[in-house]
Amino acid sequence: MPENALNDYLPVLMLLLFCVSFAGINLLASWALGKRAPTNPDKDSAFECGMQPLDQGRQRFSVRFYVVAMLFILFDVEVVFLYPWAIKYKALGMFALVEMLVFLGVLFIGWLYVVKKGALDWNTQPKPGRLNK
Amino acid sequence: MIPLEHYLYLSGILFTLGLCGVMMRRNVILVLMSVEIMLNAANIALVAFSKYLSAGAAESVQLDGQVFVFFTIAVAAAEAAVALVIAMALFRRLDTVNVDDVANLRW
Amino acid sequence: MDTSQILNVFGIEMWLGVLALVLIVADLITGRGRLTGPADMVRLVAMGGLAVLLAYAFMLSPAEQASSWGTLDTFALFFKRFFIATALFTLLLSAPYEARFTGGRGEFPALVVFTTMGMCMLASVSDFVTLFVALELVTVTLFLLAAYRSGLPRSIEAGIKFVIIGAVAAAFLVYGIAFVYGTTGSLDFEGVRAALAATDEVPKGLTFGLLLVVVGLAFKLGAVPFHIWVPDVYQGAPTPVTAFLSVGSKAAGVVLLMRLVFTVLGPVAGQWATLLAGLAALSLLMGNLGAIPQKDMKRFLGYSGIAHAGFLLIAMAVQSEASASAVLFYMVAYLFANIAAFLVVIVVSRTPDNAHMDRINGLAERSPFLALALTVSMLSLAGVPPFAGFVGKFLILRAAVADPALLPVVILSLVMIVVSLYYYLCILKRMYFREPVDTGVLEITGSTRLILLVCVVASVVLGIYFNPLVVAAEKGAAALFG
Repeated sequence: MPENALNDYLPVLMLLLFCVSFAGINLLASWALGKRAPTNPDKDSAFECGMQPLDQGRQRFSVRFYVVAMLFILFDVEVVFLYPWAIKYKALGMFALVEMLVFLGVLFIGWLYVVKKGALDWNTQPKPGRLNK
Repeated sequence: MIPLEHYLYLSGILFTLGLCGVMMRRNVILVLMSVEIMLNAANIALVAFSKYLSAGAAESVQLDGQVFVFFTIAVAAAEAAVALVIAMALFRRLDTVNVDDVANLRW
Repeated sequence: MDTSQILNVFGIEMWLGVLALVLIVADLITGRGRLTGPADMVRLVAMGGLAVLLAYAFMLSPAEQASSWGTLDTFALFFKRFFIATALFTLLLSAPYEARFTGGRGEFPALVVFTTMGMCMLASVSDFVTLFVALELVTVTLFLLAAYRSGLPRSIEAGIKFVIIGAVAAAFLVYGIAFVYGTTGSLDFEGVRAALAATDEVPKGLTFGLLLVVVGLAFKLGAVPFHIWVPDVYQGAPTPVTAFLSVGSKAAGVVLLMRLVFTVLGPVAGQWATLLAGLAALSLLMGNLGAIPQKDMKRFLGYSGIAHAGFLLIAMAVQSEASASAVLFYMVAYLFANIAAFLVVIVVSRTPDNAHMDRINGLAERSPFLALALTVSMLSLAGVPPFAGFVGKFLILRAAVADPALLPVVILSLVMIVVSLYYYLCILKRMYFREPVDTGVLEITGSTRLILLVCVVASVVLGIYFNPLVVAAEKGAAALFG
């Protein structure tokens, strides 16, 4: 690599050095000059930094979240076809409008199905007896 | 402009990674995620091809590849939903998401 | 205008879609989780609709001018009729099986109709985008159908295996299509064909892409080495679904592969013959040898299906008009034989719910009629004259001997026919010479009797008086070579 190419990076190096030393000096200064108070459990608690953790973070949560998430993805992704149509709406004209209405109609029937089957019903447990044995 | 080959390398690497994931992962969910990676690798290739084909032909813009990607995305979502539903049934019924545990159908 | 063009080509598909949506709404209004009564009604509506559409498909004549949306030639029409008839048979089959669906039943006919819609679309695709969407419509609904008995471990297992393999196959297909597009700049079959015809040396990327596409379709067809899912899914899926898979899904793979091989790959057909012949040889070996030790009827039929895929691939490797028409005939013969076999399995495997081969022991004593139907079906699958399967195999082999390069595969297939005769005869031996394990009364309804009768008569008649179907198949195949 030519020498002048490295020269271009000199400001970056200087900035890096400056940042590291600024942070380091400040930390050192506070350690050297500051008063050392005894710690207590209250001081270590998450004061004004959110809730006290109640449990481990890795617990299972209800399968209904997955159902709703899946249904969301399904209906959300269909929007992908609406964008190009919306942008070229004038140029595409009546044909595309009817086409899009048919598309949305089919989606609507799908949504009706979802609602009627109670997939979005948060309070009903999915019954194992309903599975097809 | 980034040369076409770079996109193809990227998509090839992703596709291979996905394929390896499908073959080596034991968790159904991770297997399905690997399949999604494979599909998205194909999408990258399609979009890259579409872009570079239009760059070649001056007046006619090649959009077929990008339109195709719309369809892949929609279809992949449907496929993922169906796959997850079956994975959920698997978990409910057999209490496992490990594909090695699902090997009762043999001679 | 575009609308009329689309409806010209995809009219049947539109009506199938409407029918499926009507079924879903009807199920919602009448059923809401109820198990009896309305579900039967939904199925009857579905069968009525399919019957009307089948009649419509027979009255339809091929579209004169080509459209950019798809092709409605005699080939496409032949397969559309085939697919609708298969769906109709599937719903008829599900009548004696339906009692085993303890959860909702209403979605079953709707899913079958959606699958049929995808299959019919596949018959007339002329570009890769429609191909992909239609193929995924078929596979995704089949995933659900395979796992339809979601409380039954083996059905879920079939579903999860099918989903993973199917999704990987889809990824291969898209990746392949991306490379085909990248190297030819076209997603039309015509454009790709033109690109192939224009150059002497095919670009590597294009070959790579087409190879991946063929791999994706070979998964559908259940050809070795992409067959691993077949036995498991066949065994685990509900039996009517297995019947639908074995005939409909295979035919979907066949129709696409034929379009690709005979039209798109036309200019470079010679280079692909070796590959296809190799796949055919592997499928014949694997399917026939794998079928011998099987103890489960459905799994057994799965392996036999792989072997039949081998035969179909021989015909693709030949790439003549005669071989293409032989495939069409073969599929129809296969349809009747398979539907009969699976219907017998459904009746026999009622309680307890499994399809172990012991269940057919002594079937001749328990129900001579079922035994006769299964005998005809097995002999037709084995290719024994005077049944339809024999004519199918004969036509394919006659087309294949015209190509001296394929001689090894032809000899292998003859050996394998003998092997297959062995295991099909083992089934007959079980029916006629073994003591029954079950002694319960077999419930044979009127509709079961009717379907079996239709299948038996068709298998015999097509084996003797095959000319009309051969002519129809030749007409269908001629469209591919235009």
